[in-house]
Amino acid sequence: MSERRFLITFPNDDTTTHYLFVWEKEVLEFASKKGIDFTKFEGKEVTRQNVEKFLSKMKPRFVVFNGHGDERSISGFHREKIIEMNVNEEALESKIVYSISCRSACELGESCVKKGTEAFIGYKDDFIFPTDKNKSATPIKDELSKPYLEASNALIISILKGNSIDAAWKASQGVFSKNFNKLLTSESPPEAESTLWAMLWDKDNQVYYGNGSAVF
Amino acid sequence: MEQDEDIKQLVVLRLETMPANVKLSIGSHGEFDKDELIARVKKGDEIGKKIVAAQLHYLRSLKRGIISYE
Repeated sequence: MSERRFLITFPNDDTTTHYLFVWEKEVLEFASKKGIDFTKFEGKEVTRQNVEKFLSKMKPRFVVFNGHGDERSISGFHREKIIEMNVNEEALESKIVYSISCRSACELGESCVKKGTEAFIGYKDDFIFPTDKNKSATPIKDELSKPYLEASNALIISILKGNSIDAAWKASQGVFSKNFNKLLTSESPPEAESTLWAMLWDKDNQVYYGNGSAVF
Repeated sequence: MEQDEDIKQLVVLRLETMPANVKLSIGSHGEFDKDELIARVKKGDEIGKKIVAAQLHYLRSLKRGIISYE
C-alpha cells in the first residue's frame, strides 16, 4: 500500500533545473502549511539508488520528478538515469507520478502505467520556457518563466489538495490558457509575446496516462 | 524542398522579434538565445526542427481559431 506522502526530486545542476527548484518552493510551502508529509532529494542526493530505496521503503503515493529525460527515461543528478523503461518501472507501481522531465510521457509514461503505475502525468515533447538573461541569478523574479512554471505548479498543488488526476490536469491546462491570454494583453512584458508559441507547445504536450480518477 | 525553406525563413523572421535579453530553455538541450536559435533553424538540426515544429503548431492553432483572444 502506498502512504499519503510524496517524494520530490531536484537535481538542480543546471539553469533549467535550478529554475524548477526555485519555482517549486511554492509547492513545498503549500505542503508544509497543509501538514503533508514529503521528502525532497536535492542535487547529488538524486541518484537511482536513493530513489529506488525510498520508493521501496517509504512507499510514497505521489512522486514528482524534476529534471531531464527522454522518451524512455527520467534523469537525476548529472543525468544519471533514475527511472528507465524496461529496467525499473516497477518502482513506480501504484503511484501517481508527475514528471517534468522532457519527453518522458512519450513512451515511458505509457509503459509505466502498463506495469502498474496508477497515473503518469508528463510531457510528450520538450518542456520549453523563456528566461530573462538579466534575471538568471534570481529566477523567482523572472516574469518570463513565471507563467509557465506557475501552470506546472498548479498541477502539483491540485493533486496535493486531493483533486483527481483529471481535475489536476484540467486545472493546469486552465492556468496555461489563462496565462496565455494574459500575455496577449498590453500589460504583459513586451518580451513575452515573442515566445508565446512555446507556452502552447507545453500546454498541448502535457498529458496523462492511467487512472484519471486517482487521488493522492 | 522549396516549401521547407520558406517555412524556415518564416520561423527565422519570427525569431528575430525576440528581444536580446530572452533565452529559451529547451528541455535537456540547454538554453539558447535568439542568435543561437536562428542558427539552429537555418542548420536544420534537432533543435532547429523542434523550433520549427513548435512555431508551426502555434500558427496552425491560430489559423484554426483554437487560441482564444478574450
